[in-house]
Amino acid sequence: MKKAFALILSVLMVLSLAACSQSAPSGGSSGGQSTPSQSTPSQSGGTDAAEPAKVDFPTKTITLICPYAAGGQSDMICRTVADKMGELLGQTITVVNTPGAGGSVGASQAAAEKNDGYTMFMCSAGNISVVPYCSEVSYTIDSFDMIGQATDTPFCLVVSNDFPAENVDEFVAYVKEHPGVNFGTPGANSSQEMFMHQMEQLTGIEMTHVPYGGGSEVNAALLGGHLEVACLCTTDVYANLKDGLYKVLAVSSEDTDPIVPDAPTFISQGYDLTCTCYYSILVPAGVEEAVIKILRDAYAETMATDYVADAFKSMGIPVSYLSAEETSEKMHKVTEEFKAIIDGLNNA
Amino acid sequence: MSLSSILTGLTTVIAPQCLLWLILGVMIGIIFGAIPGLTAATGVAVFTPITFGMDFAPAFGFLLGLYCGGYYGGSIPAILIHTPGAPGNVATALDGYPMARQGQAGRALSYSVTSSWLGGTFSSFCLLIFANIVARFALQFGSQEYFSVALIGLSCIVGVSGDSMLKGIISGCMGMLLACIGVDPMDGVLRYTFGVPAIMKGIATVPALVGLFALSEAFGKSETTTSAEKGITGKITGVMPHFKEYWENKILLLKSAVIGTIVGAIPGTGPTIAAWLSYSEAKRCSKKPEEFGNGSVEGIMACECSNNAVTGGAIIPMVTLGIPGDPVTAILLSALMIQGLTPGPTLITKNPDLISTILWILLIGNFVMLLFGLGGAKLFPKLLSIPPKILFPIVMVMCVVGSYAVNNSSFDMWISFGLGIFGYIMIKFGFPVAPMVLGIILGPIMEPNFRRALISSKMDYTTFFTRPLSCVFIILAFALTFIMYRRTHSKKD
Repeated sequence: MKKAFALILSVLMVLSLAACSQSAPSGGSSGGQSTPSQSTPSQSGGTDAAEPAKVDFPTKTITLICPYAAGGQSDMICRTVADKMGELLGQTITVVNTPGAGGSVGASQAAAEKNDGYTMFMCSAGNISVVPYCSEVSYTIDSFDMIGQATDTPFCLVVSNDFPAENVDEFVAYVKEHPGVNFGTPGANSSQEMFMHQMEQLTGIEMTHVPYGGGSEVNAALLGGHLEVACLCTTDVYANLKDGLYKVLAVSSEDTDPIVPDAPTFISQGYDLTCTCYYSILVPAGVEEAVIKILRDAYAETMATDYVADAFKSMGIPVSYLSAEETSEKMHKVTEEFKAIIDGLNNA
Repeated sequence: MSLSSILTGLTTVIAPQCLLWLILGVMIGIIFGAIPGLTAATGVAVFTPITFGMDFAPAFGFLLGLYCGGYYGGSIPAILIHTPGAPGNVATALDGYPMARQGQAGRALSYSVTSSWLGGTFSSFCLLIFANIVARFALQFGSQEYFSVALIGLSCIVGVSGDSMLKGIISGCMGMLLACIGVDPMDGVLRYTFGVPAIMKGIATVPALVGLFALSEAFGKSETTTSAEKGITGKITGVMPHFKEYWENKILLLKSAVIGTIVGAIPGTGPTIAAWLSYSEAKRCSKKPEEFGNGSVEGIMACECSNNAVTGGAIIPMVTLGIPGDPVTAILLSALMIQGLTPGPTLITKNPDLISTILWILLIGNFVMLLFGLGGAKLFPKLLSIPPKILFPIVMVMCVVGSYAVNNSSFDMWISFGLGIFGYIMIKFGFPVAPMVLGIILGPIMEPNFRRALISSKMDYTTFFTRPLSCVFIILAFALTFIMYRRTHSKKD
């Protein structure tokens, strides 16, 4: 009996250990909420805000909120950046996944965190530039300060192989003849949906939006012949495109995209559509000047390393670092564009 | 596939380094599966980054071992403490737990692991032989078909409603209603969120499971348990599987394995639907349907066989089309890319040894799982000899940790807690909780696919019947409902 009990105890210990190892990042995040409330006031009280002096940052673990599930591409970007940047800063950066609602759960949470620099957030175009204008959430683009852009991927206009169009002109002509053609996107209120609406408004065509649950579902529908037209990021299409399973009529980058080198741009076909889906690292607005400078410098250094270049390459995404000002300018530009599209839809 | 490439695969996998990682993977997988709140998907996601610097065979040996072990591991707590470790093991709890209460935990665990092994092995061979056919079939599934298959899943409510069909339907409807909470999947409108960001993602499945099954059971127990009550002790028997028992159920096992493999191959589904479909199919043709829910051996065999058959099935679209078949393979896809392999239709033609390596990993991984499982079937039931007054508080602590860990959300703990109390009240008034779980799981599949089907067909309701596959599924759903209803009622007369 005693032996049995000892055995059970040891099994339970193993189980609880395993459980702890999973919940460890969350322990770090809750610690990140409570301790700074004591440390920050003394810090900001000691230094003059106008003239950033030396600050002792970071002194503890930093949290990077990833608003998507563990294991996905966004999560991999976060973990790659967190590894290298933590190494450069001399502190651990833990990635905490708070998935749900296309990233807006994580964004809401990040916006509500303390702006002491110990919480960062990886956003994407959908949850910053679209969701706040079509859904009731507690944040906008102004709830955040920018650290820098990580990557951006242009959108592709994808059609099935037997779709009767070889370029955007033919596509527009076909849809004008057959209004209400279905197009698929990875989700409702996604940047892909906004991009297609932008195209509709520019060319005066009318299509029906069919939202799916992620890029791979759209791919399955395209390959199974359930969908003829879709808008996807280059990262979602390149493998199938290479094998000739569908056609990409145009890509929304300014120059030919290295991931899909054979696809012509919208611009080269005379359509002024140059939107990309950005992924950027942000902090809640109002982080002390000296602290945010440390983060920005460390991030710039991180993105220039071979480690990041190799990791991104293996994921099939470009390293497109932009400085904080450039990131902010770009995000505001995209946000204004999408806002105009949403206003146009609401007034229609 | 030539014999030589099959043998090349074998030699790659039985290299000591690969074998070691594979065994480690299975072990960690079983632990992840067994802890409520941690699933095979969490395990694979957490451990994918450590495969960055590894070769293909050890990396995939480790991850696929985790995958197989994880899908089986969930049945251990389902049987022992009425807490399915993952959504795919809910149906196992319905029969496994009663068996454990009757002092046959060892036997139940043995059935579970042996059936898992059979299912996993079957689907590995399907991967080798039928990969292309199965992948083509899976692509036939459009939104209409997803909806119709989920409808078959809903027909299981008849099978798990117990005495009152009406109460079962009410419970199922409440589950579907809970599934509506959160961001509308088609328009992005917020539903019942009351301005709280944490509710936007909806009622998460794992915390709901933990609440409805484990916590409600623990609350119920606390009512009847006296401090003097002893745990279940006694000899653990029936652990070694008998060939005869499985041979008698060969049709059942084959059917479950086929269902599991096909459901696994259909993108966007997973072990949960596979297990429920097999469970109700097993009940439909059982000679002893009255045993289901009270410790039916056939029930355990059907669910566990099919939910592990999902593994091989889900890998089929991953390697042939670059499309994940279930949540775990979605993560495995990025692991493939880390290995420098581009997922897509040409993956196999460019890497002919890949399939045979995966096949051997799955075969050996499943066998390792069988060994661990049978060994464990002798040990794990000892857990039940802990007096309930100690065991159930421990279970509750694990539940809270588990429901937090899935999404790092303290709100999910409150969901568990709230649904735990709700489940307790439901059981008090004779409402079965299993239909509610079915509603919560199937709601998010039915709703978007129903609406997507209608949008793409310009609001034409006949689209569900004019597509042959969808029509067949709908007829099946009605037939299943009718047959099971008749059987449960004629039994009472």
